[in-house]
Amino acid sequence: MNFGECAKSAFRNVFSNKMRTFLTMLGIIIGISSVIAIVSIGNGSQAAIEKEFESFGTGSLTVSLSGYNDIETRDLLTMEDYDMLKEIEGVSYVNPTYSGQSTYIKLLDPQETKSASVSGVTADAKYIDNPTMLYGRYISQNDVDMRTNVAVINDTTALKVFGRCDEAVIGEKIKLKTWKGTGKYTVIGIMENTNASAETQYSDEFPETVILPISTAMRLYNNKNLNGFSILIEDLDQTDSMKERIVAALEEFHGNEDKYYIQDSSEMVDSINSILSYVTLFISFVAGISLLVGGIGVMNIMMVTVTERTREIGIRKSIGAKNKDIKIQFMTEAVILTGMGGLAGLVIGVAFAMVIGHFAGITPVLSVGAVAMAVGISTGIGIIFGVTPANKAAKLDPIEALRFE
Amino acid sequence: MELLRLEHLKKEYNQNELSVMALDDINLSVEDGEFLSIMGTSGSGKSTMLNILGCLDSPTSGAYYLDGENVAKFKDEQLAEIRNKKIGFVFQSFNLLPKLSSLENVELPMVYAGVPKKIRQERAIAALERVGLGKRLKHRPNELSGGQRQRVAIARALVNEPAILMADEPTGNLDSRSTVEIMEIFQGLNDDGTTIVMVTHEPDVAQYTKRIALFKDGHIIKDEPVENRTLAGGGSI
Repeated sequence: MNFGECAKSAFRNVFSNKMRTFLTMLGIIIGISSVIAIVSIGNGSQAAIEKEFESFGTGSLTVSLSGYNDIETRDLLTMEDYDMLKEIEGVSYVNPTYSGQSTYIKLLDPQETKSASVSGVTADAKYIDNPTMLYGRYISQNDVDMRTNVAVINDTTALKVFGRCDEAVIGEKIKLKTWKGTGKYTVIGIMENTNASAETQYSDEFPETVILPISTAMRLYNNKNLNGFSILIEDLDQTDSMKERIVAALEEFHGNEDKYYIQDSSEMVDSINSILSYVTLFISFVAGISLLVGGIGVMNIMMVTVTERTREIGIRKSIGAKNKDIKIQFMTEAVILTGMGGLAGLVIGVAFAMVIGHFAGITPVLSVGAVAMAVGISTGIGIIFGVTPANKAAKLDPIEALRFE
Repeated sequence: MELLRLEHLKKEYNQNELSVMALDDINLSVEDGEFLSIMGTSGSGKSTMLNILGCLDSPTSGAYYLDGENVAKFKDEQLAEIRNKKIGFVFQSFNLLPKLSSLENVELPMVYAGVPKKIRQERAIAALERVGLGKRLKHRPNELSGGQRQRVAIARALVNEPAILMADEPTGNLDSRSTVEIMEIFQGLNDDGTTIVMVTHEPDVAQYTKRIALFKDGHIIKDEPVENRTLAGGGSI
């Protein structure tokens, strides 16, 4: 009996009792769809996190004041540290992290203001943050030295403030207001929105971002203290020794100990990814149990089917079906049951992932591996849990089977 | 030519340490082209005989030569092959698959024989036309009368051109008119050269055959040609 005949006959039998077929497949559908949904969401968040750090600058080190110890005035980071860090051997670029608090930007409607995310940078920031310029230029060393009143804004800001985002916005002025005072800045460049700022992670909208020369920003906020630094080193293989060297230099410079915290972005990606993969593994384990239960359900129904169709098996044997033919027939039915369950689970899982992704702001990523796994596991379950019933059918004595009512 | 021969054939059943000798030292020879009926009361061993002749069961001892081969020693897979190629079965309760059409039921033995679909259909249609059901190809068993169902079963039994046709009480579930129809088909097939072995407990039905073997307690107590044979077409010889 060839495979085509076998599959055709199996489909006929599987579809002859639709309700039973559906209920039997349900366990497999639930198992496969949860695995697919979880894996796609997991992959999606992983990709999003990696992309985030990529735009943040891969391989960059982040220096910050350690929040666990008491901070004294002498521990604070300033532009003097910046000058010192730049001179360390092996450091290519340094950018201070400096963000202004409670700043408002005047919008198109002169009555309206909106909170904006303002940061001060040096010219090196373009090598570390990798901004994509849409129009105009980025902050230059000259802007920092001369403390010019210029600003780079993102396209959200351009649209909110000027109602458009094009070449003509360059040269226009934006107004910023803080509790220390106000300032007017000439727009010299518009950059593409990035995901780099942490607060955008969970909202669909990009915040209004304004980038000023660090010296200009310090004057606006009347504050010379930095949050920290982003440092790009020459050789990524030297990351660990460079981290030690930078911290040592800072401690020597300030005459203190254990006040600074340094982290490299790959470390952060790794730690987040490992948490994600543990979560994925755990939920997949739970889904795996559901697949096991589903498989047992398939076996149970196949056992019932074999008993119900004892007479049919006897008839088939009497006209020349070999044990092998009967075995293949029932195995095929089991595999069709679980395989269809697997495909349905795949579709439902993807839909489920898209719904979750829509609300969580994650684009689910369906990998070829996950699809292959869904198809493979569901077929495998059919084979594993189909063997026993199929063997039972194949071993029936034809005379006994023909007598069965 | 001798088609089958049984030599000192025994079949013993063991149930709860109690052994029953269903067939005891049977010797039988059937020539090509014969039409034999096996008669006897229930428990006489006639059904066991047919199961062994039809290769559904193996004897405990003795030899069974079918077409020159001793099938008594055959394993399950070989017996399935013999059932498929050399034996055609007709049962009292028809034993058609209810979900399949007449055509598909008749095709089934050829499916197991690995005959390609096109040839399978041609041969199945020819077999159904031969039993007068050329217009009932798409009907399912429950849409057919008892006599028609048995004719589908006969078409199925014949379609692989077996060496021998085994019939187990083929008219047991049929009215007298259908019985005559089925016997007419059997006689026609036999006239065309098909060897038939039929189990029955009705003397009237046995009267349509050419030879009667009477079983009692696992022995053949009488084996002789039929005199005054009934012809289904009308009259007797």
